[in-house]
Amino acid sequence: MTTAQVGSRPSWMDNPARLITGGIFGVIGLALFIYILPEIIDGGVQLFLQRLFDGLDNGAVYAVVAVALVLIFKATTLINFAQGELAMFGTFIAYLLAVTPEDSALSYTLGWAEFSAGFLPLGLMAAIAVAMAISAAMGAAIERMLIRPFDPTDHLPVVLITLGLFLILNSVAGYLWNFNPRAFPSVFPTDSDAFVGIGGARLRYSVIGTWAVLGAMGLTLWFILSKTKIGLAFRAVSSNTESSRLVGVRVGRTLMFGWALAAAFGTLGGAMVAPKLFIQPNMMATLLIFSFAAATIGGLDSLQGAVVGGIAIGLIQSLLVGYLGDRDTAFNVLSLAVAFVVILIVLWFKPSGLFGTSRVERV
Amino acid sequence: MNSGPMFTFQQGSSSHRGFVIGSWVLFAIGAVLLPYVLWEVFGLFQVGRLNRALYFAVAILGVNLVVGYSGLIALGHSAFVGIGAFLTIWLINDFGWDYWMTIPVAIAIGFLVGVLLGVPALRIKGLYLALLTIAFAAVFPSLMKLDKFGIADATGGANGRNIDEILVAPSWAQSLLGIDDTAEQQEIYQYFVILILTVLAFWATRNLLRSRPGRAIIAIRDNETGAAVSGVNLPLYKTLTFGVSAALGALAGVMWVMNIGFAGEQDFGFAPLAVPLLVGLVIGGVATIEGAVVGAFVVVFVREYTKSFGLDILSESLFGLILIAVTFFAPGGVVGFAKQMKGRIMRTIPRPPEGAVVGRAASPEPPAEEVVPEPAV
Repeated sequence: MTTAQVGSRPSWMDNPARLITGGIFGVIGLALFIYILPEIIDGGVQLFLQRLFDGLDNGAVYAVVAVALVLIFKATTLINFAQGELAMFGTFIAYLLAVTPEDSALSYTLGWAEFSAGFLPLGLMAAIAVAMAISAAMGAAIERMLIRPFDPTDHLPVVLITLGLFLILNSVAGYLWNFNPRAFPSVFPTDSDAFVGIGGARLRYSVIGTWAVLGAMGLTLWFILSKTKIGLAFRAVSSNTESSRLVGVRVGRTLMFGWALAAAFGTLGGAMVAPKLFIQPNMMATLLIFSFAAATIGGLDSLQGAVVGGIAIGLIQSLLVGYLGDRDTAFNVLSLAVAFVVILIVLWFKPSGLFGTSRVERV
Repeated sequence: MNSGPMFTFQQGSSSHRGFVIGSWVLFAIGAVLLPYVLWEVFGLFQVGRLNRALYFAVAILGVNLVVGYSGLIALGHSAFVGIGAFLTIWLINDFGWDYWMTIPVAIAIGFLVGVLLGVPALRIKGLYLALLTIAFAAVFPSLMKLDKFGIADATGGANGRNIDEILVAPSWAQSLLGIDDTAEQQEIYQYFVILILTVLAFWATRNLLRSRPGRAIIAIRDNETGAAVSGVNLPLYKTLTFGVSAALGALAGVMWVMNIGFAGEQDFGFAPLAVPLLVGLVIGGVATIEGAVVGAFVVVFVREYTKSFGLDILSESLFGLILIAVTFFAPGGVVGFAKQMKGRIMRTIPRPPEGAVVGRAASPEPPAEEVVPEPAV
């Protein structure tokens, strides 16, 4: 069994071992479906629709963070393990800018100076925008100082650097702002009657709003990547770094731009999810795993794949784990396991995911 | 300025042997005396930390085998330690097993689980494998509290589980070690048990790495295609590496229970255990055997000290800073740095091959005398 073939890749059906493992996974999936089928029928249409909407709700957030992961992967073929913590940090900045002291009773000392939350009386939207700008600067600085010195084909140093960042950001946030969860205001109406009723199920405005934000983000990305010069450079670098360097693209700056963009979008995702999860330093820990799964389904280098993957993971989580949990409450703890199994299956059978480019290794 | 190393040894010469044996004797004496010194100066509490450092060293050695020697970035070893620990508690509490009987079982089960998890690593590489194993480490705690198939009963679920009977020294060992039968003083006995297991684990791993499988594993890391072309069986050796490294993790889990007498699922997550193991690996030096010990001591003591100052949050930052700083400035870790320093002080010249003419002069030197050296302590 050699590791690299030149030219053709073995097709799905040629390999009996993969066929057998695929069959095993398929049988398990079918058995699971039959197992939960009574619950789906019992629950009725309304519950099903509600689960669907919940899935879309989570899926939008996974998609936003997955897009940020994919941006970095496309540019540098790296996985940024600190992505979630960067987003958390950005969300905290938005929180500090937006929430007035009366709301939060939050004051903290930063060295010699005493700040209190909301020291800039900005509206929530403006606060999120400023936080995104600050995160972008942080992302760019991280790329320039910590990532660029290393050879991207040597994975271990980069894994260590981003894990180190993960630890630092998490504990610094915990030190500054402690680990108590705090309520984060939502951009969208959160009243109890802020929903559209479809078949008895509630599609909340916040879900629609999150999807609108995701759509706007997609449009912005499309505009930047296909209509601007730096976007062109970004696509060139992600397609072939060496050749773009030779034709005069400033690779370093372009990668910095990619990191900045990713950090900004991560913060946006954090601000979208914070009203639901509350804001605290560990808020992104499990979300990041789901977003990894989303990015993996879509193919780690495909932006639209990240969105599709986000929806898929959101739906799998809310439907499968939801109905399994109805069947037996013991299964309620299995949410993360689903993400792990999804990552495993996708990487095993189709590492390029649904939309990613498959790589052919040359000897 | 540079005038070469101060001392030069010919490998196999009597002075070199004296140096090697002498340093091992010194090391052994130090290892035996250390717990008593700690007990005298700081109290038995510190001996517990010493034990912790020892089994961390074994777990880090397991990580090192996969990450350092076979070059696969697998970061989920916290789960293997957890498997060893839960298995030990389960077998002892529910089946009345003895501590000694759980060791081979934990190692065997750990090996099997490692082989199973090594199978995906045949296809999944690099960052993808890092991603998968991080997800695995994050999932493991929630699997351990699954209230189904008897898992939560065996592991104690979210509360964790205490061992019914801690590891107590038999009377001959008590008199040998100079301790009584109080629970605190068993730390000393536990230290020696853990020390012996640790030494055995390191010795076995070192031998493995110096033999044919070890060379194959390193060849795979350095050039996978080249190794395959030279006839190295990639699937066999990759899964073997995973198995051995998971077995080391499970052994560390057994020692964990010997020392603490408790295992809780939240201790075996990604951030609580897998990250410290990785930090220890990097501090000590990736792909060095000694590095595992150095890294384990640094990690355990840094963590305990920041905790004792009420700053346990900052130990995380410190770990993060160390990860980044070591990756930037000393990719070889402490051991790599020490080896550099040692190279300035002393140099060992390899033994010339059989029948080779030493030096340019036509007259060969007389062969090194086979004298059994006295340890130059």
